[in-house]
Amino acid sequence: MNRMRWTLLVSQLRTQKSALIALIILGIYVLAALAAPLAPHDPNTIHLDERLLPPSGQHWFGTDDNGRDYFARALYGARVSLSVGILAMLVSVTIGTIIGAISGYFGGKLDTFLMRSIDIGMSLPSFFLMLILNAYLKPGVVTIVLIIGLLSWMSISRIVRAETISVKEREYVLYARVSGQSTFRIIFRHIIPSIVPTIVVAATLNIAGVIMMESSLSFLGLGISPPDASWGSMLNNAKGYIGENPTLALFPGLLILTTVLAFNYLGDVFRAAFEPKVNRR
Amino acid sequence: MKKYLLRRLLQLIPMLLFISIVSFALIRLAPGDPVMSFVTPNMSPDDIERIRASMGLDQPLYLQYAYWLQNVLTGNLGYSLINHRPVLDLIVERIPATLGLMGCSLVLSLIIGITLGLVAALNKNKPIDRVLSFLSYIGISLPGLWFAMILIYVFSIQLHWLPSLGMRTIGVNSVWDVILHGVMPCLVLSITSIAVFMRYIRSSTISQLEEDYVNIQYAYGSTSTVILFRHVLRNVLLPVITILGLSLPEIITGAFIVESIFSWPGMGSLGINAVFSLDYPMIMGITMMSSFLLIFGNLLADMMYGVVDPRIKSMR
Amino acid sequence: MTELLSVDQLRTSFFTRDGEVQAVRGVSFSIKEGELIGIVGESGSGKSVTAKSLLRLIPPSGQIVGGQSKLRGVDLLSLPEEKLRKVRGHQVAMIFQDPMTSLNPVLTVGAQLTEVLRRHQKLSRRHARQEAIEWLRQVGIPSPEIRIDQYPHEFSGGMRQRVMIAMALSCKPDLLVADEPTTALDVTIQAQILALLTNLCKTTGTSVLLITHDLGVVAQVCSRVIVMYGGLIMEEGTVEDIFSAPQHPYTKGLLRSIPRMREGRRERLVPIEGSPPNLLNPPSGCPFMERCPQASSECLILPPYVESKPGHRSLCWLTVARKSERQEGLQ
Repeated sequence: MNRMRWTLLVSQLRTQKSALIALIILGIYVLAALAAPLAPHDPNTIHLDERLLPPSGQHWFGTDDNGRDYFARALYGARVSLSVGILAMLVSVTIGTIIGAISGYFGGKLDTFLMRSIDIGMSLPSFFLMLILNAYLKPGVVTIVLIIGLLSWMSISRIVRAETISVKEREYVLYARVSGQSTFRIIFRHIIPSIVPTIVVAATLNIAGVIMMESSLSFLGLGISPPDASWGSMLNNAKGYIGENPTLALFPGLLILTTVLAFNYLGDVFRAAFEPKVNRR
Repeated sequence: MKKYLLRRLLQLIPMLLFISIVSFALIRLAPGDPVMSFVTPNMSPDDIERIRASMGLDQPLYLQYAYWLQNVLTGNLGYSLINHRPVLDLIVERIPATLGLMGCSLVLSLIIGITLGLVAALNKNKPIDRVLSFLSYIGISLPGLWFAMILIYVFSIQLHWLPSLGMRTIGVNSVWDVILHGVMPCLVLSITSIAVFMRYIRSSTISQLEEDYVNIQYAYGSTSTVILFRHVLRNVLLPVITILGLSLPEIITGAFIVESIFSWPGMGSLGINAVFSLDYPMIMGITMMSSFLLIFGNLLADMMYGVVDPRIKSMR
Repeated sequence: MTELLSVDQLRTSFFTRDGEVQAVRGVSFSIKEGELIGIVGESGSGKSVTAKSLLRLIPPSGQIVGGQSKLRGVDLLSLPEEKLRKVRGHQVAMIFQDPMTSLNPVLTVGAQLTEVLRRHQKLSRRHARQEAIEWLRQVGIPSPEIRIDQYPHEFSGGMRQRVMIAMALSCKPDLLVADEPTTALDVTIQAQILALLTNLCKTTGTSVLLITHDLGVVAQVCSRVIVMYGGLIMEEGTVEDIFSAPQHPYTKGLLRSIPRMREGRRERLVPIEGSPPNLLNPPSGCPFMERCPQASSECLILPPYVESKPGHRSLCWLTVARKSERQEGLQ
């Protein structure tokens, strides 16, 4: 069953050129982030005589208000934005999967309690809470990852729960139960592996959401703090120079847009590949 | 239906309790003296001590919570640390601007989203559908704050058509002025929901058009226009109410960002400013208010859906 | 009896990514006024596409490639869309397989019934409502005055199919096309619905074209049977002809594969081995050849239709041979 889904995915990727483009864009960004130290300029060296230069052969993205090379800053920003996206996704997917699987597998009162709690949790304005927590705590990559991760796992656990409920009635899970395997083993060896496709879809879309949230937090000045930069904090900085040098806003914005777009698009392609076409006639 | 309503209202109680605990925690976790949140500028140290005693800060935590809750229930959300006015008054002043912005954005996104979704569905897999589908991806992936900066750059800085800050020009008191100020915030707040609605309407219309009852209508001599507007649209639009409820958190988040960029004098920018100045009573007030907005918005969406969909109506 | 509908060389294809799927490959038959005729076949035989092609109701990927379908001399396949709409539901009505999904879930049953009446009979709102109530009573729905304002989900499957029959017959059509009308229903309800359908059509004089995979249903309702396979008519004749003297090996196979009691003992059921041909590249010869126990090299070429007796034709070299033997015997 799972292998079939994966082959479907591969064939989907092969036939859909746009999905391939999205993958290539993300691949380039990840490579660029990894290769950031190879950039010709240092991202944090200030040259006050080279302020707000337009893009040129020397400075591909121009320079910012402190004369720092904007291309190098964008590369280092990619490190922060992408790693926050991936790490926070890992936090929320881990929590969401475990809670969802437990809730769906055990059912009954535990399930009711967990789901009601999630309902309540989702009625809080999570973005505002992130702002508040960031203001209370010392901002930094770890803080941001934890705050975003801890506040965005709820929808994932709902999806995982629904999927678990349908999987746990399948023969091989029933067999595992009858043959006396431990509950822990059943959940981790049988249930979670068979809902991996669902988790992959949720995770892909979750990264897109996280990157967006991080950039919003940083844009409002409550995320990554100077001298480190993420694409969001670069936008925050560019806000003040929008009249003088709009390219300062252009580059980080385009980077965020294309990254989020690629993740959203891939998430949809994965979903289309994994979802059995029940209603097709 | 009445039973269902009662049950839903009862379900609100644990939610509201939880929100109140979170809000209480926000005040108590905050560095500093909680008494300060009830202090007004013209109080003497004696008064402050009296408040401390009356607040029962020497009491155990659960009693303090109970006392605080009683205050909140009677509408006393404390005083802003910044301008020393009652939090509730400040919020109530700001709510119309936020609700107005959200309302306009909802109407705008519904009109544009539904229209584009129908156009895309009726031209499924044709070039126009592909273009719209690509645009919808951009719509859901566009960072609102960046979109706002582009709009400001183009329409305020380059073209000088629209004002980029606030809700009114000082000294000018006209509706037109407010509309001019509101165009960009509303657009930024709507862009994501437009894309979301459009995608929903498209896929839902396409699947409805494949339903048997549509074929039957063709078989009984209906025109495609009649089928679309009398039969399909109703089935497509009913669930939109639920989508509306679901997109409420996004819209509230959006309002925080949009208001702060455009200095729109609503609850969102009040909240952001409160976060920056660590105005704890204010933060607590905004948290509670926006939670209420979310909960009641969802409740309203649920109720409306129950009223308009005959299947749900009889189920309850 | 005069001829109501005559279908001549109907061909319908679906154009898919893999190529042209020839679902109906030249089908001709006719229906007389007041006649109840059945088309039988497995899924994929082209029976349902044939029925839908009559009113040009095939999905967009499908296309009627050729042929004529004349209703009282007017070719429906070349009629302009607006004129065809006046025929649909008025002169020719249709009932579909699944009553659970045939009605719009968010409109009342009454709204859907009166809509058809008002469109074709130009009745006033009040008059249409009375008429609709009357039809609901006719199809055996208890307390129709109340039921008319209810929504489809408040009806059971059998009741919904009754509503569909009321809708179909309310405009007094000349022809009712029923596409597997009882397949989705419980066995006990199937018989009731079939009895209702035949009785009403006989009293109103409506002709019926019944599409089904169930020979038993045909035997119960129809006077004439068309057996389809691989997009072609394999055999056509009266119910007696088909059941007592089947000519085509496929018809024989079909008859052996349905359970029935004969002289008090149960016959063994014999399934037809194999699966229907791929209509993406249909065989040029007999489509049943691969599964036919009596196939020979002749079958690589498609035989002509031969009547073994007036009104009973089949598409098989065996019939051709039998007929020429008989003629030689006569000479």
